[in-house]
Amino acid sequence: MRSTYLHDMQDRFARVIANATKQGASAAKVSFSHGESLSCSFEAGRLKYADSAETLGYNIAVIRNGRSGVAGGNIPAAMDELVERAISFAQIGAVAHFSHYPTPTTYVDLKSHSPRVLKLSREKMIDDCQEMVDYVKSLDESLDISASAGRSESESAVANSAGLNEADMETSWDLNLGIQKTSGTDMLFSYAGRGWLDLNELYDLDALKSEIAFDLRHATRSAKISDGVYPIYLPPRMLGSFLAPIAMGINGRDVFKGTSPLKDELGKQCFSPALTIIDNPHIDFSPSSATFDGAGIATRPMTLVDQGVLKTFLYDYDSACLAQATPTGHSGSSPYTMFVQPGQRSADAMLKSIPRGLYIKQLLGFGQSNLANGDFSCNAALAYLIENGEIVGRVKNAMIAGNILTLLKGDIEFSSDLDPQNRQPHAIIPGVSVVTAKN
Amino acid sequence: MKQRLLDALKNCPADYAEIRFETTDNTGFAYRGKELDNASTGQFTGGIVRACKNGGWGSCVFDTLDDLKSKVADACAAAATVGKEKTALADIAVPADQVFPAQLTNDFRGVSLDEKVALVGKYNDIVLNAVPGVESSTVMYGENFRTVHFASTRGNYFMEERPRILLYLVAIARNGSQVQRGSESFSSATDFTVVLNREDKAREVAERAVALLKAPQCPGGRHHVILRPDFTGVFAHEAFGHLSEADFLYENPQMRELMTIGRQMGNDDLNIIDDGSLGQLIGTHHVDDEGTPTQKTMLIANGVLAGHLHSLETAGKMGARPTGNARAIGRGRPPIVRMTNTYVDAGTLSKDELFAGVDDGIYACGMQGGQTMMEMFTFSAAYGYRIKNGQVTDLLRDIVLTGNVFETLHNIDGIANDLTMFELGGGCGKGGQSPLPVTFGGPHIRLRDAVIGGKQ
Repeated sequence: MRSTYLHDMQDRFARVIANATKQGASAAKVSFSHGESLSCSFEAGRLKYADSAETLGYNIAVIRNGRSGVAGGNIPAAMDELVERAISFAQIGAVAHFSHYPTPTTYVDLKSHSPRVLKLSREKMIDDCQEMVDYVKSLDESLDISASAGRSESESAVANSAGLNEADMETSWDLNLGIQKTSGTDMLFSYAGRGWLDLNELYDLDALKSEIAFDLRHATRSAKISDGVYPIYLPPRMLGSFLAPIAMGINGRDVFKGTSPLKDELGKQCFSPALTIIDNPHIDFSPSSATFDGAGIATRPMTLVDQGVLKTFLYDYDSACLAQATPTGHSGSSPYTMFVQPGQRSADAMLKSIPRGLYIKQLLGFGQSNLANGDFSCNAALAYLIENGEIVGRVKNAMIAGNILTLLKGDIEFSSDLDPQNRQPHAIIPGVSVVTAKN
Repeated sequence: MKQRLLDALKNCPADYAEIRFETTDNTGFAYRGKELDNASTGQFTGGIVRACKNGGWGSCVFDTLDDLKSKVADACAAAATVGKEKTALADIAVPADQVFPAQLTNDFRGVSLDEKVALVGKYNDIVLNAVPGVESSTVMYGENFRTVHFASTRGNYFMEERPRILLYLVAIARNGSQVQRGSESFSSATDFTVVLNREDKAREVAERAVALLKAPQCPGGRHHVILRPDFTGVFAHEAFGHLSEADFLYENPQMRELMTIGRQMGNDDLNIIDDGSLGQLIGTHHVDDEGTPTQKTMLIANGVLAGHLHSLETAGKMGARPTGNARAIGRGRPPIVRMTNTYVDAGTLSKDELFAGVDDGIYACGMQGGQTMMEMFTFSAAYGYRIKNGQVTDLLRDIVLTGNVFETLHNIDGIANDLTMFELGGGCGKGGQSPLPVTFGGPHIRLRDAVIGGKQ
């Protein structure tokens, strides 16, 4: 990094916590991050942007007389002033369900910083994007091609009045490729992207190129499906969306407040025995890994759903105190990464077993649904008709709908092979309603 | 500030460069259930230098004004590595120095935090207790005061203050595994009274959440649908507005051909407008984030494609005039082509005449959200009703419409005369910049054969 602030932060943190305590705070916490990044972007098939950024931010949280005040800023010199603001805000602030942070413990050692990422120069990123663009252009000259790459390095630190004092360094990269094919009023959008904290085999231009080529190959033909109920085949990238109602439903705070549809389901067979989900925040160089949560509670891998049985709800420290539950080390009472455990058959064998169904690559409007209830209803923006185990063409103007919490009770299946990037399997989910426009 | 920014741009080797520096001050708190669940406040500064050289762009994002010249140099050097063609940015005639202070009718900064918390707490009590069956609530208040300073190598400078306040009222009802929400939101750039006297709305969201527990899902299939004005606005924004943003068009020959001015898009009575200069709405500014004055732009006039939304670059490359639609969501983000206040203009039918034309259909109400992939779009109603013989009957839930814009706009067969603009919570998302303050509007409109997802 061109500049670092961490050496300066220890004293500042101590001063902030002492200042807050002196003003009657029973607990205080300061968190800080500072990062630098480089990126490049191609638009319309040619290099268009080269960007750099340096940003900083910090948060001060205090608890005073049973209420919390939180103030954020990005000017280090204004940190002391922000303490006053946090203290003042605590007078009307949110109800705190604890008065002191828990005593810090020892934390697992996770890798998050890789010098290899820092060797990724802007020139190299531009060359790599150019290679991907040239390849896609060779498939179809008329495509509108976009590509981008970026890398960043950041430092972060957190300290609290219970003695937590941790600092960390992190690197990351991302690589993206996308196309728009326009033929009259017909359009195809296809995207592929990857990112990780270490520069390893995942930085793979060919993987992105082949994903785009897959869509260009299969979307050329159009196919029709009649209204009805069909199985859907989900690639690993789509599976995470279909786990959202579970992630929302196991939020311990929502469970306590009574708004989770899974409130009364703990320990019960809620889903198909084929579904086992493990939350694992201890994967080196994963962007979603963490060693401790916002209160300093150590994280750990946890089984969320075991062969369809709901095993746990998740609690951050405040929510655990509120619900008189055990904290699980989850900031915001939300999972880090929900890994669905693999099944028996390969993704290819599963595809070949589908007599008639939809292969869903992209959805439009999924997030607008009442996902807290498990409901979804959205446009299958990029979907292929599967007939007798083969992809026969692109289906357009189709709406798919159903209730995910109900669908996951059905005859679902997951592949034995996992995606190298997100470590999720392919899935088949039967029973999805399909409605199409008149063709 | 003006001189500091202009000094940093002196002797800049780029064809064009600009600095936008912002300060923001925000406060927000929310009840969830019986308790005040979160409350936070923040003060941030930061900005971005953008430089264009030989048609290529470089940028440098920063937090403080320290060493601003080196940030300009970084952006210019980056642009020089990128550009390989001619820079083509449209010219605009703007005054060298413009200052636009906020014009607040009732300044939220003059109301104490205690009063605001008490007000929101009162609404929360109503949401939780108005009717049996409400399990929890989210009642949220937020305020933000953004001050934007801008200078460019063209010698122009502006300062504009852009305040915004928000109120969300959400009731959550649960019956076993069935969870439903009723929600309303309100926003203003000028007037704190927008969040006052909302007791009836608090009661209404509670009643609706509970009623939706018993409401059937909207049957999937093709329906005649009447869109309430708030939903019409989302339709105008999602189904057509994004397609008119010229950054999707200017470097894509097929898209430019598809969106050629003069193309018949709908029936003769269809007019769709974007107007960043309209009143003092949350989508309204004096200038955009490149310093171009905002304006009224006809996107569709009498059913015919009439205009696009432009930045300096898209206008320069398409031989058009910039329209004042280059907008950034905040500090450190580049301006991209965005909508402002977008609406379907009023037609001639009365609302009753519109409904009388539907024997069996759906009345879609309330904005849940929308998304577009250019020709395809979806948008979701918060709730709706069955229409039978022109009359509004049973409550329905889960109404999500989809369509192809080039077909759907032709399927509008009735436009009422009750144009209304809406300033709501949330905003528009594009290019990772969300939520940008925009407004939606329109009258009641009638759509033939709209596709709605769900079980038939």
